Amino acid sequence: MTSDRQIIGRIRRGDREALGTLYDRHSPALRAYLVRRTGTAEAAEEILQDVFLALLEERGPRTDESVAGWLFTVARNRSINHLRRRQTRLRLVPRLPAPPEAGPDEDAAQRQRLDSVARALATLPEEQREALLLKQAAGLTVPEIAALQGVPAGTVKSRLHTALHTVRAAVVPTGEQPWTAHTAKA
Amino acid sequence: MDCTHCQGLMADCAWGELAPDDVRALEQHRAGCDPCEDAWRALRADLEAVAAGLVDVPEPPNARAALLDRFDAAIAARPRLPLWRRPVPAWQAAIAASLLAAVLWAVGNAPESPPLASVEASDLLYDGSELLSAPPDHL
Repeated sequence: MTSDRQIIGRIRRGDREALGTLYDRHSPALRAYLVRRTGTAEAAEEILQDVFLALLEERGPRTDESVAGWLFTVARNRSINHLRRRQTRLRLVPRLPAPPEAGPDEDAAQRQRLDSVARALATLPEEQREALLLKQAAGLTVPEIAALQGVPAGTVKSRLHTALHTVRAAVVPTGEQPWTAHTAKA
Repeated sequence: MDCTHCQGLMADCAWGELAPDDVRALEQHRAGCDPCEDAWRALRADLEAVAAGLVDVPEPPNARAALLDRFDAAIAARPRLPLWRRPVPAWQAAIAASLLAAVLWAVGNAPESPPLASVEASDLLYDGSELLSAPPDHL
C-alpha cells in the first residue's frame, strides 16, 4: 500500500487520484471529529475539504509527524478559527450516534453488540470520546493526541483506558440477551 | 508474564503503544494461554466495534467529487513556478544525483598532469635570445 507521504508528493504534483486515496483513508474519522467540534455537518464538510486542500498551500507534515496527525492538527486549528469567526462557543455535541448499520448477513447478536457499543460511546465524556476517536479510528499516537488535546500524554492514556473500560463494561456480550446483562449487573 | 499482566497490556498493544520487548512477551504468553488468547480476540472485536461506532457520520452525497473539483480548480489556478522551484520527482532527483556523483568521481580520478615544478621556467618564458644571436637572413 502506498504510504501517506508518497501520496502527498503526488497530490502536490496535481494527482487527483492520489487526493482521492488520501480522502478515502482519512475522511471518515476526520468528518466525525469535525462534526463534533463544530456542531454542524455543513461546517464540518467545508473544513474537511479545506484540510485536504491545505496540502497544496502549506508545508505539510514534518518528518517526525504522521500525516494523520498533521491532518487532525489542521482540522482542529481550522475548526477553532471557524468557531471564532462565528463567535460561537466551542460546542461539543453530546448526541447519541446512530448505530452502525449491520450488513444483511450479520446476525442479531452482532447488531445488538454494535448498538450497545454506540450507546456506551454516547455516554462517555467528550474528552474521552475524542481521545478514543483519535486513537482507534484515526490511528494517532498518544503524543499526537496529547498535542491536539493540550494535555500530558499520561492524561491521554488515562482517558483512553477509562473510555475503553466504560464501553466494554456496557457492551452486551455476543449471544447474550440485553435483559440478561442488566439482570446480571443488578 | 502472568495473565493479569498480559491482559493489562493488551489495549496498549492493540493501539501500537507498547515497547517491542513487551509485545514479544505478550505474544509469547498468549501463544500458550487459551484464556488470554480469547481475551485478546474479544478485545480486538470490541475495538473494531468501537471504531465503527465512533466514525458514525455518513458522508454527504457528492462530497468526494466536490473536493476533487475544488482540487482541480486549485491546481489550474496555481501559478506556474519557475523551473528551479518546481517539485522534482524522486526518480529524477536520484538520476541527477547519480550523474553529479559520476562527474565528481571522473574529475577526482582523471590522469594527473606533470607537476609544475618539473618544468623549467626557461621553457615557459621566451627571452628573445635567438633573435639577438641570429640575425635575420635578409639583413
